[in-house]
Amino acid sequence: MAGDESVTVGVHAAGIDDGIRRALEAFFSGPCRERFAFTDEKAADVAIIDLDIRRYHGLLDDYLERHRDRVVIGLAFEPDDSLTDRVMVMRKPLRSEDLRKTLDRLAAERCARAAEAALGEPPAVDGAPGTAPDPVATPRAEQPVAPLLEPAVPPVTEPVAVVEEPVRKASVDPGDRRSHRGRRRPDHLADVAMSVAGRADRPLFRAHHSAQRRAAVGADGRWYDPDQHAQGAVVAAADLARRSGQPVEVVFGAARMVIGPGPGEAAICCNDTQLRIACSQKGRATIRTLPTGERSGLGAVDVRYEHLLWDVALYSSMGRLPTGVAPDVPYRLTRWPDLARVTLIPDATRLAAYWTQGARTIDEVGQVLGIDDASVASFFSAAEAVDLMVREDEGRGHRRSRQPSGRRRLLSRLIGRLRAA
Amino acid sequence: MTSHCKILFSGPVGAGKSTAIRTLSDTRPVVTEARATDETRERKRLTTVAMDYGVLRLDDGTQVHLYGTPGQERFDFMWEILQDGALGLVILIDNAAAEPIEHLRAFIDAYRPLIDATALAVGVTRTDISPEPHIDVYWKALDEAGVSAPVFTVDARRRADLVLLLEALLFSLDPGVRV
Repeated sequence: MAGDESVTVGVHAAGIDDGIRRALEAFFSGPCRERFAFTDEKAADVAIIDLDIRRYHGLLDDYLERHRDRVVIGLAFEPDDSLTDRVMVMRKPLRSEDLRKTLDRLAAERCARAAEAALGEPPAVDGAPGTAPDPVATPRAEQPVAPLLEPAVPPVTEPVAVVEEPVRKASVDPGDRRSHRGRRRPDHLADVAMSVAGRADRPLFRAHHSAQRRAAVGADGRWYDPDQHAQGAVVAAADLARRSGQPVEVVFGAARMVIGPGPGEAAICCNDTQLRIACSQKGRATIRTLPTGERSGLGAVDVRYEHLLWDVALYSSMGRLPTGVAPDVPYRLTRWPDLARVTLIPDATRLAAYWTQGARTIDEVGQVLGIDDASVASFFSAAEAVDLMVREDEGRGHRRSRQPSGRRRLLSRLIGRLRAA
Repeated sequence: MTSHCKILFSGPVGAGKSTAIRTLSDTRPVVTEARATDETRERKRLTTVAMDYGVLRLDDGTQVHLYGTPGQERFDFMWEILQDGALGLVILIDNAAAEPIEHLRAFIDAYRPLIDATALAVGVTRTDISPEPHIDVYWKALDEAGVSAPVFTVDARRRADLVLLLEALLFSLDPGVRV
């Protein structure tokens, strides 16, 4: 071990569930308690953050902003390669030995920095950058590990008042995009939030980096059928909730969601990774009504229905277009989606800006903006799912199209500066 | 020689303009606060009377000035002064206020020439305190005013929210910009 045994490293955990917390408490009360202390945020040297919670980007950004000198250990089933180098990713399920080695390495580096500051020159430290690589955790590293902290897969309860139907029984003609759109977004879902607990969600979806997406596109080509994915199930559940006046649970693979009967009511009972994986696959859903009030006991996080549907469509699309959508027909984005509260794809703000300024074909958007087809298709699919895309011949009012600003260099540098900080 | 440009933050009292500039600025912001003496004092002790000022420094030396206007209408002479030469406008609206949509309409009217000439982004704050009116109602008000603009629910303390809002504003000026 390279670390100085006399150094006690304070470790703080943020955004983790009770199961992981208990496991970490057990870990830090074990043999390594002389060197590592499970502590509060203020006293910590290192933070552990669960990257699979749906609001983790906000949490991580805030944490890194508040503690510019700290390293964060991120726990994730599927590491996100967009993370800063200050985040050391450890793949779940996490093994205690790997966590100990990672913390040992951090302790060694901390000790080295202290020595460097005191002596004015860098001491040699095992495992420090420039020496032998650490097999356990490097920034953005992924390691296959055995379970210590198992993922918290939500239990699936027995149906109570069952109106169980496969997704394919949805009362909509899959080929009719208009009726599909109408079904997906009942009028009553337009107004009020049930709660704001899930409002901070804003993970970044790197669709075009996903091996799953590449595999799916290879199999299905450029289009996908929303009704064969979780997207269709969520829409069918919303329809059932509206008709029955009761909350409706939809289970699709490992993803579990509840759609409420009131305007915009929805909740999600799984983490973002589970949702993403479930949506990426075709399957059959179990849809059932719940007694009013039962939803609160399911450990659900409230989200707005249209935000949930955006995410589900984005994950179902994986760079493909919904069936029936022609890439050479002009569409226009009627309004900006609330991008601060949905999962983003790269260039979402550019796509929204361009598509709100006039009707463009899907092919044209990609070519003019220089954005890859998969990102354009993902954005289109999500926006179309929440009824924000209209064909030009369905146009609702006219938008002016701006001329290029003549200040592109300035705008480019400014946006780059904002993103980099 | 360094060049300059500015982005204007406006909106009613308590919407988070000072907080937004503090969140974004590279330097400690300059504030012109005085003790509130009117109905504002029921909401906060100090209020901006002239402007808030912060700056973003680009790597080529360009300074992007961030100006926040006072929220009270009796200081509206400052609105006119500050909007001159602005790159774009961010309007922040407090969703927990009594009439947030009326506030939005009033500020669109006040800045109509700037909005027509540049671009607008609307940030709706304090939706955690009051989730209503929903963002759909803001969209409707913008439609009625003939304005197309991004509307995001934001927390003025969260840099990521503000960066997204500014990105939307800047890409609205020119979606062809590549970063």
